[in-house]
Amino acid sequence: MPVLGYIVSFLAFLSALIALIALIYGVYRQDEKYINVGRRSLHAVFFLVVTASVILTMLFLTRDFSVKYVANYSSRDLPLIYTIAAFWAGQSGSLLFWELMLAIYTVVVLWRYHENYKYTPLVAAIMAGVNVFFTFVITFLSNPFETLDFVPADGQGLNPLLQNPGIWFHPTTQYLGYVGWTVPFAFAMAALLKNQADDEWIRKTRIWSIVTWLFLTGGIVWGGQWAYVELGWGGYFAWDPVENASIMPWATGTALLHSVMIQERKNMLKVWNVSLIGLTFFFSILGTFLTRSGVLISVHDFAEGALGRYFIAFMALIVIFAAYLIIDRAHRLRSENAFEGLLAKESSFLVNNILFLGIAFATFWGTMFPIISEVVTGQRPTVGPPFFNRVNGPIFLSVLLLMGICPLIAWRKSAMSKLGRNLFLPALIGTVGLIGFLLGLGRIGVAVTYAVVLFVATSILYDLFKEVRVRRGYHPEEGILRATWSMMRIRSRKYGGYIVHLGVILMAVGIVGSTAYKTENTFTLSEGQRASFAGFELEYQNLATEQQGRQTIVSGNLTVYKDGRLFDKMSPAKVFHGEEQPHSEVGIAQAGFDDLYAILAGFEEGQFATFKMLYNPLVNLVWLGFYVMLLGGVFAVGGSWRLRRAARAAVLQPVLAPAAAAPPSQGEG
Amino acid sequence: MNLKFTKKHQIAMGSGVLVVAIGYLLISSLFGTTVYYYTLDELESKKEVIATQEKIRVGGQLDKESVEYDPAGPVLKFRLQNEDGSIKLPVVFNDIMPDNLMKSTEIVVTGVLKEDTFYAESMLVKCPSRYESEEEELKEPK
Repeated sequence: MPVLGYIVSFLAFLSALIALIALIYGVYRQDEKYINVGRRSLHAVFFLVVTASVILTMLFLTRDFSVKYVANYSSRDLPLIYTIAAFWAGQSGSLLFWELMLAIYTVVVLWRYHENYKYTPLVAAIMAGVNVFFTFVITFLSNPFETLDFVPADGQGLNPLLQNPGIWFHPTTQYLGYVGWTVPFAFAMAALLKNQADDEWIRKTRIWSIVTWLFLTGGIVWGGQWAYVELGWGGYFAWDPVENASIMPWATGTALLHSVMIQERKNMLKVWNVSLIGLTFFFSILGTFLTRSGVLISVHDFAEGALGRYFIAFMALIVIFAAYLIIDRAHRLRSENAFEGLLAKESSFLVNNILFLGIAFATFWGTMFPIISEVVTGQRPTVGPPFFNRVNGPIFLSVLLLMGICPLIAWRKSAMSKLGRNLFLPALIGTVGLIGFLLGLGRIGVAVTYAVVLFVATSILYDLFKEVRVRRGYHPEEGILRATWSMMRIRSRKYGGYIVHLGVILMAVGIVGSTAYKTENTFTLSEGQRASFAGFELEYQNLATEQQGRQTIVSGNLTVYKDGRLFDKMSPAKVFHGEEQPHSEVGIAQAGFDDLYAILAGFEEGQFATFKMLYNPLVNLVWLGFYVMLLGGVFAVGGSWRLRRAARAAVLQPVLAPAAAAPPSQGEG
Repeated sequence: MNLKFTKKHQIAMGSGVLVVAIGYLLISSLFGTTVYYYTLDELESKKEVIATQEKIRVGGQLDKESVEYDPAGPVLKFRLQNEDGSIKLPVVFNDIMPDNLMKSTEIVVTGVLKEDTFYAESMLVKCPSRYESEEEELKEPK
């Protein structure tokens, strides 16, 4: 069966190559025959890659340890759920996973836009090019079907750190968040090749971009949550190079989601938008490469290989291809409108874009700085979290502030007096909040952030309130709740965006709170001894030893009291695997939005145990904020789908009528 | 003098100011937070140049026999060594022992050098076998 897997991946590479050549030739000669060959070949790539993935899964399930990848990442006692996930636990498997997602996306694009977009063959050709690269990588450079010349009795097993539900959420969403940018990239490049200066590529790929952005956000947050519960240092983000690699496409992708709205409304920023999607796609490939290469010192270390050179060549090709097209066609992408005023929504989107590009660039610079400097000067200056926090902290705070200002200003231009009127309430609440937080908390950074958060929340709710009032003018029969819901449904994209923003400010409160007010201490306790920590009483009960398969789990049982009453129990543990150094399983007791976090640092059986305790205030708001963001994204996508269906059913007019009648100041934000 | 700017100029100037501000933030932060990285061999030859109290990063391998750990402190003491073991650097780390320390192939510590002892405030443990297993560990059945 491994041989079959090898053959199948080779055939997938051949099919992708044929698809690429046939599509380019077919588009060039405008010959439907060749285009059809290309289309069929891409379907073949899809079936072959799915087959390869099924074969790899089967090899894992049948525990075929003659396959090196299976032997390295699984063992006989590995539970089913992790045996399946072991598919993407290592390098070659996760590259196959990347290609699987890409192959699926490619055929979905073929089906979806078969009839309603005339440049689909060109889009398919560009996607075929990406397919060629990844099928080449999994066939010739990092093949998961490689066999050993002997059959080990058992596999190595999956690294215990990876045996966490996180393996089902983080790598999968992370890769979807990378792969997905291929689609808008291909559409944008196809539009450039065909000299199409309009925003059709944006409209066609809007949902792809939002969904991909949601996956990427999910990948980052779930990665942080996984690190938090598994790595045992009590944090969730450390500006590790691989984390940074995912921040870069996230920042440029976020910029893109905002600036495309300007092009759709005003036919401006065309060059900017194609550049942004080019950059985002480039960063996605860079992210995949950094994760898989080992060029940087990181928690995600993987073995280095020949892979690097090919990835660099591929990235260079992307840059040359996109940059050439953009520069060559720039004159056709001239804006059809100009900025009409500094005080307009357009300008606030522009500021948003500069800020997000600033985040992307600072993160890129801080991550690549050691490599670049070593080449140039031979010295290796490095920067860590202090650098990233100092640069990106103020930029993120500015982004938050902007989120509060944007809903208050109109498209095209705002009169100062009108802005003043809109600004009054949110600014008042923000200022009162600032004074209150300064007096109550005494820390300027925290107080300013929380005041800005109040300002944003007020500004968003105020905008909603005004629109609901207008709607009730047209539909007096609707109650407040009914009118709010109708308004949000009609303007689902705008309010989806606002819900995302509310999620972001929740997350900001969580991040700032858990960073600024985190406390930690180490306690060595004998059985029955108590200690107080962060307003809790901890009592060390005893040490419990449990045998689980090949693992021995030693847990230190803690009872937590709050105000003299039993609050919770925690059992941080050390898990032993044979002779190796044990790994820690932390204990977490949730107290509202706060977490009490315990690590068993050491023990002497029957005598004492040492616990490292952390108190992470508001950390659960980080996760909650993300789920609110997800909700907002789904709301926006759902609305787009609904509107599109409605448009197809030709009932668009009555649905949009109340919205179209609303004043222009209340456009999408 | 007529100093009337068009909207376009205003936008361009506003954007320019913002870009310069971000650039300034980036460069000033770079100066305050850059930490130089040395291998043990480089450190040995440059010891006089590197001012004590200056924060540096040092990379090396773990001398496995040297590990002393007192969880009650918590204090972790070990020696870093270069490839052939000819240079050794004692390290003190006042925190709990990282789980993967003994499996490490490379350790990068950040901190200060004081009288030939390195006081680490953070450490990064690198071990390729962590996610990418090594083939030699697979045993042929007898």
